[in-house]
Amino acid sequence: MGIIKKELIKNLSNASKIALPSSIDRCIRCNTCKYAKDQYYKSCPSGEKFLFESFWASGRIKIARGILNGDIPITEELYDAVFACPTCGACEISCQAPHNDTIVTIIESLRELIVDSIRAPERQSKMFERIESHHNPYNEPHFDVDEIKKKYVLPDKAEIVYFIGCTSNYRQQTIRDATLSVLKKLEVDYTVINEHCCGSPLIRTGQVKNVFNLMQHNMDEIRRSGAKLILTSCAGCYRTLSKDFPKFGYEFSSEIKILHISQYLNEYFEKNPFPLRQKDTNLLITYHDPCHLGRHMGVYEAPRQLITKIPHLSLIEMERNRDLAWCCGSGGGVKIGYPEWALEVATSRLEEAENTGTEIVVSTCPFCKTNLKDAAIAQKSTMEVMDLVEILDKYLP
Amino acid sequence: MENKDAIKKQLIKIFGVDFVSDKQHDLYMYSYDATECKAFLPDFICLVENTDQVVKVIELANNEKISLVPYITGNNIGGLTIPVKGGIILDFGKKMNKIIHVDETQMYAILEPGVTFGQLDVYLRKYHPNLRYCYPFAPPFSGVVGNAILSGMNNLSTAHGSMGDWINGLEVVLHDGSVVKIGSCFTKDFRKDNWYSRYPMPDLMGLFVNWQGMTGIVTKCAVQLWLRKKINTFIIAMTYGINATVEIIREFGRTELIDDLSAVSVEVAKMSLDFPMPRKWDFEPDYAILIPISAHSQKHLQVKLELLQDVVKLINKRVERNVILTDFNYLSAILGEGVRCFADLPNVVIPLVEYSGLTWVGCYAPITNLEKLMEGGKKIFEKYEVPAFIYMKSMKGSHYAIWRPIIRYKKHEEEAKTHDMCKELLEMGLKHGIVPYKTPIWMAEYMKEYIIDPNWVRFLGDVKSFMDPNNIFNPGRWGL
Amino acid sequence: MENNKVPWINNPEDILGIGLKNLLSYCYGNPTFHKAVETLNQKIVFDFEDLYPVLVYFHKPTIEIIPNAEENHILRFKMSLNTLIAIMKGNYTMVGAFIRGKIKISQWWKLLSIVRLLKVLFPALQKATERAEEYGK
Repeated sequence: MGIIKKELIKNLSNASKIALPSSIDRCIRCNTCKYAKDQYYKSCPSGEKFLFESFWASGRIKIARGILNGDIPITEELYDAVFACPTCGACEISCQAPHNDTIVTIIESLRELIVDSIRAPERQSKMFERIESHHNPYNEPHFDVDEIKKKYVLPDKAEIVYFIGCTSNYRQQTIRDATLSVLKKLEVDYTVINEHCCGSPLIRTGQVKNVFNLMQHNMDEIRRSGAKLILTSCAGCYRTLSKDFPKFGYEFSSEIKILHISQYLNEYFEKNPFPLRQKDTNLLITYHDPCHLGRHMGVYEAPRQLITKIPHLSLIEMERNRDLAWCCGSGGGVKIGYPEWALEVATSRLEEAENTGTEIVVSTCPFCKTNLKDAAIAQKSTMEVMDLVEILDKYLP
Repeated sequence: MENKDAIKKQLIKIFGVDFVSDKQHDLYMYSYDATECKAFLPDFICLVENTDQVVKVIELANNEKISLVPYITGNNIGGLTIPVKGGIILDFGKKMNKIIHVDETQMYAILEPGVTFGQLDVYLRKYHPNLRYCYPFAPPFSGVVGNAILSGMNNLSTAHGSMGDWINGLEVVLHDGSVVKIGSCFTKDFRKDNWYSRYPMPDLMGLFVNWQGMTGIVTKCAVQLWLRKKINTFIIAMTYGINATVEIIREFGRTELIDDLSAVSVEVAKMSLDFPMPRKWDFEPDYAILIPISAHSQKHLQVKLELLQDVVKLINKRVERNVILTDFNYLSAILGEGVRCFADLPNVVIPLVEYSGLTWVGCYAPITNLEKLMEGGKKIFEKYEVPAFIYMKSMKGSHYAIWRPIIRYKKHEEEAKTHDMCKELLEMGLKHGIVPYKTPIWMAEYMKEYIIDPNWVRFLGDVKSFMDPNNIFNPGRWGL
Repeated sequence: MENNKVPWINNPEDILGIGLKNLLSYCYGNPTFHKAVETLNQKIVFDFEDLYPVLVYFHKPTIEIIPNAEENHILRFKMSLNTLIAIMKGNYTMVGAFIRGKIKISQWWKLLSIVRLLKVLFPALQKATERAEEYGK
């Protein structure tokens, strides 16, 4: 098998230095990662699309091993196999071996290794350039936080910081506005900060050199606000703040809690019953579990419990739900790197949503909403795509 | 390879540009497997969709003298899909995986090569809930046809034998590109209703079963299904000592009351309960024997259990410590969820996926010699300081047995040691009459040199030459 | 919860010890159960006559399981594994098993200790039975 070429990983982040060598003695390629274990549902978007072994989780672990052994040279030929993966984590759920909770980390570390050795793929590298210049991956002028504070009459310091997230701030502003509105209606003591990108797009695509600056900046801003609770309406930001910040050495103090907005509102309405509006008609919805909230962070029930607390909403589950949910197809740099394929994946999920007979597919991630909505438009679907907080804002007096 | 570009063009013409690869990392995937068998890179990977493509690629292979290696999921423990002479990997697992037909009355399923156990299980439960297939200790994404034509064993083996015994028919593509149907399905036209028996036409199936893809490419396979009885449950026997264990294996198998019987050293049960390198004390039972048992009714089950208890009573008179026979569902609720991996098949057997390597000396064995095999095997595990992982079965009413010492290891560090251990186990086992199945090349070479009748070896070579004049079908297997 | 990560019971590696730990872990997190464990506070031997004895030391709030350990002058329950499973199946109760001679209890006069032990065992056995019945479906 050969010797591990340690010089390949010397420049990588600490997390990658640990994750990559762990791939050497794991995985017999039993193939269990390919399908949901018991129900045998399709679960791996990249494997189902591209089919070759290197596009499944076990294949990527083997690529890592092959590179470290010197059996596979690092060239651009590897790009598709390594970067055409939404890092949805379905493989981690299906895999039953002891290393199952490191598969996504291995894939992200593999990307970091390739970026470090040659460069990021062209499309994904655009995100790096945009974040460097504009602090967001959408190339939009950096938002004016004071404008939001002024509009919503928010203080500089508060108990809660609402971390908006780039997709909510620059693409799905209705989610941002709905969240701001809901928090205002509930008379919560909160504020917003001059946030930069959380770093998720860079971490997922292995472009981690700038991530430390972003994390430092965001931590400083949060500290300055005096907040003890960070709320976010983006599943990706939630995962990054909770899991990736500590991985890169930026840990919030134990006094500071991080919650997704669905968790916070679920707790809130547990103690304070949701006000009823008599004239509302019943609405049948289905719920799409965002990968970064569900599989990555284990939050499946809070959004569902919140839905049950909103009067006149009835939830019909899709066949593949919770940890078996089919990915929306946008994560892991796939939306920018493989836009047509991202739409195909979302279309498949949309079809599943349509099969429930509901009119609205609800999610709790602006990125999921973006891709599902793009698929709905492309397919001329009658299915509406909304975020849970948008519905909540509509129903909350 | 000389005219690689030209060959690639032809392959793209046959399979489509998206389904042919010669990228280094793609080739690497197929160059080695879980075992300690040596790695060899192929030249191309092709994803196969239908029989026509197989016919065309065989023509190309004959013209260019290039090897063809059939691959389904690569889960075999024998290095069987490692392309020792390079060539083209034909991956059937991704696209040629349809369940063509299930005949409820005659109880068989016609399958394409890429159908997996998990896929078949879900399909039968949904559309033919009265029928079941059999499942080995293999993950759900393992190939049914590959296992069948390699005579794999499974959770109906004690009752009905190996999977190779239950093949009703094959469609194969021969070296000259001709497509032949073997078995009762021999008719000119393809019919779905006549794949009901291997016999009584002259039995050509033996030219393909256990040949590791050396004589032709199988493109369809009809496998027998079994009635899913109303009650399906498990009992477990725990034994002290080799004698008691072998008594249970032999005697229970003969009763014709059980579906299957798998005996493992108790360390294996612990491996499934989060103890990857378990200790074993003398006061603990030595073996655990899992026994799936099915019945048409509770009364039927009760009678079976009483009869088995009678057998245990007789055995207990002959052994030093009593055999403990109990309900596995309740015992597994006490021990922990982990042990269910052996019962709820198809499933991932957790102890097998612990590390990066898995190998074994998997054999058919004379049931008379199990004691000697167990003693010898135990000594070798102790010598190499590896927790004993020995798996045994009674096959086909105890006509013969399976003896399979299993080694999980770290590929990066322990490959040489593992190979040495396998060699010692093989040498010891051959003295006591074992016959390895899914034979890796090194085992076959050893056996040819030391033990196999030279007439048999010559005959094997003659048949291979006849079936594959240009030696394009998985060359190198059995040293051919 | 994975067996060997439960902090309040040691990590036995013998097969019966693993089983007893798993059994007791079914009620982990239940305050009533933990109170019952704390109240028990003594050593008990479970002597599985067809296998081997296991000493369980309830010393609040933790539990230590020691295989093949012998100790005199303590409460000892002697039964076969099948008797335990028969109780789980509801074929007879613990008292019924005792009366039938399927369970032998040394120091049977320590009724308070026995009652305290049953308060620990019953809920655990109940949960295990529910699980077993699910497996049987």
